[in-house]
Amino acid sequence: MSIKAEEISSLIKQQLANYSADLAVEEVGTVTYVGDGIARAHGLDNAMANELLEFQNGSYGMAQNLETNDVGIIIMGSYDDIREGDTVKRTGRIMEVPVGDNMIGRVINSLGQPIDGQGEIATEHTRPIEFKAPGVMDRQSVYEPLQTGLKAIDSLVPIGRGQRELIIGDRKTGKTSIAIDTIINQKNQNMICIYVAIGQKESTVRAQVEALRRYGAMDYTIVVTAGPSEPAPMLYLAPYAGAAIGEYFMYNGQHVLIIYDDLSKQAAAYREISLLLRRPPGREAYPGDIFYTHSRLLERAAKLSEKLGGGSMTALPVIETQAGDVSAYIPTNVISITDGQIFLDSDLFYSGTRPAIDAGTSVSRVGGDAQIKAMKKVAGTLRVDLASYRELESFAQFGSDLDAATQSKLNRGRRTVEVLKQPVHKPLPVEKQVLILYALRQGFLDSVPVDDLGRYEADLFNFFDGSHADVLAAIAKTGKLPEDDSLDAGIKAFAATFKASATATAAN
Amino acid sequence: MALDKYTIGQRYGTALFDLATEQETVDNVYVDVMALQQVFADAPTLASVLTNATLTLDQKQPILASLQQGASASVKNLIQMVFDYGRMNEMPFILAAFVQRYDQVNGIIHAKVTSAVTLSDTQQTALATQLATRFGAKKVTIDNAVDATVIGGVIVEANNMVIDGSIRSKLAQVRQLLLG
Repeated sequence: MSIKAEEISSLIKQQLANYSADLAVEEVGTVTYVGDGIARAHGLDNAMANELLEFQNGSYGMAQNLETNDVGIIIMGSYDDIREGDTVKRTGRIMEVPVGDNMIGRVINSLGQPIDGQGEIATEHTRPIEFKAPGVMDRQSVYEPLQTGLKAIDSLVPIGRGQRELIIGDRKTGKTSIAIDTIINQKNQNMICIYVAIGQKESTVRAQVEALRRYGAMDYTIVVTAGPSEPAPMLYLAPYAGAAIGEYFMYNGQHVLIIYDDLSKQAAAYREISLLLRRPPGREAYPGDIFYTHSRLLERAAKLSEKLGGGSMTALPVIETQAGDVSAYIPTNVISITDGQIFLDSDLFYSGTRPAIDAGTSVSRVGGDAQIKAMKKVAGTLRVDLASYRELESFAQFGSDLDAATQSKLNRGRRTVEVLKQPVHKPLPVEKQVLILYALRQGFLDSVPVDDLGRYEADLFNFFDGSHADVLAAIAKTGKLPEDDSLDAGIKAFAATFKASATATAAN
Repeated sequence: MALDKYTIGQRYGTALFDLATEQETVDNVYVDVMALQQVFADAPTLASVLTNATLTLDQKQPILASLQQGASASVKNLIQMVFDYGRMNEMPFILAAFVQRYDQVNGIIHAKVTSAVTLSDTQQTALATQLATRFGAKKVTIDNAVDATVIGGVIVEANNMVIDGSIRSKLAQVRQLLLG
């Protein structure tokens, strides 16, 4: 590239033309305390809440506590060379992140900077990380389904676009797997996914990104990550940054799925910041506004009215419990904010029921309206069936002689549990879920040995894909069960060809 | 946790100011405080000498006496009290808090002006008048610092604001614009 002398001189001319016009007026303060990732500064009388402030060494901070004498600042980035007596400058900008279509497929940090080594992200817009959630008139009720591809969720705790559904459970119960599977299932669903990893091990995040890439899910996914080695402010900001990026798409009329994995760690990061800023501690040493921290974040998930483009943002926050204690402070808070919860049970997980969804305590308060008709029909009695099975199961352990009705209930229950099992990263399209649940409800599975059910299911899908693809397509298209008996006939035709394996027959 | 020196400075400084206002001796006290500030600025080790535990009271007493010499009653008492409470290290902040309070009440602003060459008296007066209207202050005192790297124009630091009209920053802006 050659230097164009005319261009440069015209630029300089421009500068010189309004030379005397612009006086740089800056408001500054003096650092009086620095340490543990926070600073206090004297002066800065007109600083705004959440304003971006620039330190002498070039690193940025965010104004948090505005007091009579000083301002409490959380430092983002390195605070090694900030000293007492340094100056802090106001920037006049509220904390914001870059947003735009070019972010899709990238891995970024809480400030929107790329960390996947694929170069700069060219974005034109920015959004403030704190943004008021849509009001009453800006919303409409949730009516479109968000298919997670997991039989147990789509049938028992259906999720609608714009809903907030909590995923809660102990460590190692498959919370993240549910989230990742849901993202994988959004392929070709006109959905943009944002996975916010808060305090997740860098190695885990790397593995998740690789899994998403392997299933082609990175084409519509943005990963925001704040690892455990980053200072607490970055962990605290990550979900807000993710929400801001999601809002850009939502207000453009698109559908967004955002996963906050997990909010317990964000709460811990915010507790750390608050204690350092000397805000009074409350229950479990969390600050007084910890509820607001989560409620204002989750309230930004919405189904917008048609006037605003009809976009939606579905939030799946994740909370980790300690030893199944859902009555701790943060779990109860987030349970009360969200529109339902998927409760994962470690006993179920270790007994082989995966996903380990506890059907009794898991609920979805708004998703039912979003379920397709066919699914509603086949899943209608599922919850009751499971509940009565659990009840009978414990009862049946005492006696051996049971009447035929009880026997058949136990039989059905065992098969229901088996059908709801699903391997990881194998989401199913909704029509296939309807198919297997229909077969279960109509009693076609009652004669199939429990151990054979997995094979039965796979073969059934293959059979339908081969010779009854039109039936599946019709369910997917209309959302209804076929009027005629084509479904029954298909399953019967398949059952005739299905042979139970020898070991399974002997066992049953 | 120990109070930080700014908080301590505020408490003692405000108390001294309120007392002086009550006794209507503020202006006299102000003169004393200014002199005392000068002493502490000239002898940076003074505060640490007066709080040093290895020195005996007899050794410190003469220094204290010379500080109190000729001071008004309330300043004398302040020095004694601050010494007795072992707060001599925070003395400069106490004095600064008092001056700040006095300036606030009387509408005085101290401006630090950095320029490439020393400003003439007429320039300083003109600048002071301009700044006074800008900040709505009654009086502006100017402390002129010379820094040749400024090249031209002035940088004014006052009232938690920096007004930068220097050639140095203009050049930096041009550089930013051209080199990105």
